[in-house]
Amino acid sequence: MKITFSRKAIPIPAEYRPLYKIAQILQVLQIASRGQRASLLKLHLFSWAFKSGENMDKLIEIKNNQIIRDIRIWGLEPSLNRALVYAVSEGLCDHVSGSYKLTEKGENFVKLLLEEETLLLEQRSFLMEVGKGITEKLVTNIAKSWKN
Amino acid sequence: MLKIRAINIVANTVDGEYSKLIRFDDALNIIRGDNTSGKSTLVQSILYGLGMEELLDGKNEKTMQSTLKDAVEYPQNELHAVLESYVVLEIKNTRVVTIKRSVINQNKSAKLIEVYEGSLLVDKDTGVVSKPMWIHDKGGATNANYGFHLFLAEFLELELPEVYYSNGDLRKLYLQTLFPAFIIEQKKGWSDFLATIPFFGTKNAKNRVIEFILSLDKFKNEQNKLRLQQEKQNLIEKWKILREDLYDIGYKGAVDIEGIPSLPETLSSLDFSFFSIRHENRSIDLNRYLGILIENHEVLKSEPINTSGENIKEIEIKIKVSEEELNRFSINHELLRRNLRLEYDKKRIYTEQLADVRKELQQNKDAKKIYSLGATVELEVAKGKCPTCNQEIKDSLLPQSIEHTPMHIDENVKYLQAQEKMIIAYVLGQDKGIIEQEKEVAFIYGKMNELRQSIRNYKRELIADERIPSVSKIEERVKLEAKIKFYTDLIETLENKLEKIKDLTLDWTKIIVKESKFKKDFYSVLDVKKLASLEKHFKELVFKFGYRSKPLDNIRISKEKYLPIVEGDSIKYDIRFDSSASDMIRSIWSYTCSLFKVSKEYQCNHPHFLLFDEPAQQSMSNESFNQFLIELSKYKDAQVLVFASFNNSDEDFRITTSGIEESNYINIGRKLLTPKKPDGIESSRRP
Repeated sequence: MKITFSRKAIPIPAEYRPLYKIAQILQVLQIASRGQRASLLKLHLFSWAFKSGENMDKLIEIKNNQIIRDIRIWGLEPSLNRALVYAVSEGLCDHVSGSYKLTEKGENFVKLLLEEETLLLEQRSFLMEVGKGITEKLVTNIAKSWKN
Repeated sequence: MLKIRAINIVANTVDGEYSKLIRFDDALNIIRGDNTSGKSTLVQSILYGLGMEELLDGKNEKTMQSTLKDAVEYPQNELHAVLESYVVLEIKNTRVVTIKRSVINQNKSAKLIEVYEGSLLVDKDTGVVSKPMWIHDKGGATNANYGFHLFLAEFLELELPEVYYSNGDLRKLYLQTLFPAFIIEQKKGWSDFLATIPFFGTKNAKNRVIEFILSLDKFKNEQNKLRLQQEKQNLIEKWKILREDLYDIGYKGAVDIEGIPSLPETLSSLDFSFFSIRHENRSIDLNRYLGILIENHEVLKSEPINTSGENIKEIEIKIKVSEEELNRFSINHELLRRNLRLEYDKKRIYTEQLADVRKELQQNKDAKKIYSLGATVELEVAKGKCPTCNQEIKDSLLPQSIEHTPMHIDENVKYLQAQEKMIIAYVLGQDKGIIEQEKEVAFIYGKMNELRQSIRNYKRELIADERIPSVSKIEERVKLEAKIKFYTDLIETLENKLEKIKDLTLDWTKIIVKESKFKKDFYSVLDVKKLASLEKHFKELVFKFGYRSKPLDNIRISKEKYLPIVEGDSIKYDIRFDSSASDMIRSIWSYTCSLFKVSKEYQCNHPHFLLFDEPAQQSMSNESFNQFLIELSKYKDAQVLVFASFNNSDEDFRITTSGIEESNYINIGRKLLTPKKPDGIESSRRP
């Protein structure tokens, strides 16, 4: 009698799908970053923001008031790092001294995504509202505030 | 019946009037004119006068030739600019009217048609009043007084049916849809059967036209079926409204209603409907409840009303009992309320979960889209491969070292959809449970209030003057009387409503019976006969005219489209395919004539009018054309107008018109429009 075991497939949240996360990152670079370039810390900040409506609201508040208030340390997810590794090796963005910058291939791909009007709607409208308002300086300041 | 008695085409130019007046006979008219003679202008003008220029793919003066709009050429190469032009058409059915319509005119629009109740061209009636009518104006077909097409339909005694349009509207069949069945015009009319039906969005226009011309029962039956379905819908609406009313009324008296189906059913099921109400922890029939109330009332009435003083002992006991009961209810009430709060919480949690699942579902759908876009730009990750080493990677960002098999996105979506369904079911279940419990709580609360009131009354009585009659006893009676009245009235209202619902079931039964009578095949015996006759005539004629592309035995009339088809062993197709070009022309000749013949045989709706513009298409042989004309000359009951150039050859004309019984021969001459003569009539009898 032969017994076989097969592993049961598990559902995982969409944001743990590599290309989904990459798409998120590319959008951040395209819409919310000056020169289509952002630091690793900033990317983690946005990744944290995307997790919930409240988080996104908080970030918008910070951008509007330019003061840092009531923001706990945001997590640094390994999954984001993994996604970035894929993104770079896929040639969608470059890793240059701690920052990530969109390549031409990446820009083309993100434009393709943006053409689909209903794709990642919530995140997109959030990014449009933030605009370039979360500067690297602001991010660094927020990170500094953790020390206190 | 439509007979065109005469037409007068007039162009007022800078050099005077150029016109042509032509009289037509009641039977066959052959109008000969060379290709450049203005024959087309003549045909177009006839259509224009009838308001049928849409068969030429346009509206109003746009469809007319330049002869009537820009310049008249007469004689060869001499042009005279047109200032004003119009068409006068005299037609006859049971009476004669003359139609005048402008082509070019400073003051009169091409949409205006003047209709004279008299014969202005043939009999030259005087003192005839004209009535202005409109065409291609919104409402022209329906406006009772001024729509020309409406007038024309009535004049021709055509009762146009209501048909469906592709936008769902149910409206009268447009007259213009009908005319291509007996008017075949040169430019497009010879490309197919009923080719020049203008576009109005009529559903299955050709079917409708042929059904009308042959007054097939099938059409009527289909319309009846659709109407019946509409009736059904209306009844269902009424039923729903009445039922809701019933429930609302019952609610006022805490009455439960059983046995009324949510959709109409036949009568018998309603016999099991009844009303019930809660009494002493059981549900009993409402009428019985009323009976009990009345009994109690009788008992109360028979008792003498004691004075307060006499009742003290009794009242004290009553107070004690009531207070105990109130206490029990109170505890119950509190428990139920606590339970209810928990249920609300549960529902809230489910609802939040549902929102989460839906959000996740949307994200997964987005992910799917992103992956497919990634695949189109050939991203390795989209194909599940590592971009650097090309090994397979798991489609997840969880640490690759952890053993796990992520679901494929499609699976994930299905999984989430299943979750969504499940949670929705939970929520619905919660809702139901909550409604039940709310009812229960309300009921107990009501009871509690009643008890409190009673206790108050008893206590008041205890301190009242001992000599006066017991207030509580009186109140008890009064309350009971009020209740009895309330429920008596309620029962009456409920039963009235129930009667109305029962009436609806009668109507419903009638509709169901009518529906069952519609057999699957809508054709009546008469329909079958007519279509068989159509087939017979078609085959006879098409052979006589020289059709040889397919064996006659294989030719049929399609039962679905009513058009000629070729039937092989297992296939059937439109006769168009596989027939030579000239044979297709022969088919159109035959079909058009056959429609008339069948309609005449069975007294249907054909107007007994036929117009053929250049029927000898596709290098038609003189022999075939001759047979066609001979056939047309036999139709004494129909007016037939044939316009042909006869290849500009006298010889061809002689051959093709030999053997014709009798016809009115009209030669247009070199040019249609000639300078006005005192007597402009030009026609000659052919010997």
